[in-house]
Amino acid sequence: MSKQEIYAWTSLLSSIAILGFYGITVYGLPESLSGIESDLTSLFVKVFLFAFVVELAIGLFKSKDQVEKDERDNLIAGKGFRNAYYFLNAGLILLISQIALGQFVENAGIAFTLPNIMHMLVGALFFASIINRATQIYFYQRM
Amino acid sequence: MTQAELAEKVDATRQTINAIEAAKYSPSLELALKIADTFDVPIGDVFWLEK
Repeated sequence: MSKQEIYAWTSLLSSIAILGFYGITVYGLPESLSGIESDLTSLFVKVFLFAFVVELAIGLFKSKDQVEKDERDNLIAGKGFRNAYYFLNAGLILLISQIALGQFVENAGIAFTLPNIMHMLVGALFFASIINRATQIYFYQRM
Repeated sequence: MTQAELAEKVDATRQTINAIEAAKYSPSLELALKIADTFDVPIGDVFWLEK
């Protein structure tokens, strides 16, 4: 496994952990799952710390002889960024159209207050990051 | 020559050399020329179009 592939895995794990932690902190879990909330929060923190330590270790023990990144890594990174960009664009268009629709349709379901919109945007950013890294991992397995 | 040695000579990662050998990845013209140059053979001896 190349360094860039390991970075893709650790970044995917940390993005999932941050999104999960953020989601629980902002919205909480349904009442039926409230018993495992603290366990889940602790798991997300541990996953994030694990990913951080792995990235730190790779950064510290990098060998001078080996090539860190080459054209294949750049190509795969480009595919990941492309998919993340598509997702982010679709998400933003959906959010803007929902906000516009909410002006005309009452009881649209979600209150589009400023904090809610901010939470959705932060969520969309982390989802885009997850899509980016998941795409990279897919192509690292395939080519 | 090992994959790691070739990778070092052509400024690529060992995984890229492995992917090229397994026909999973087509290198750029620059990398293909570097590989051919390393073995001191024409590029057509190393890479060719499947028909």
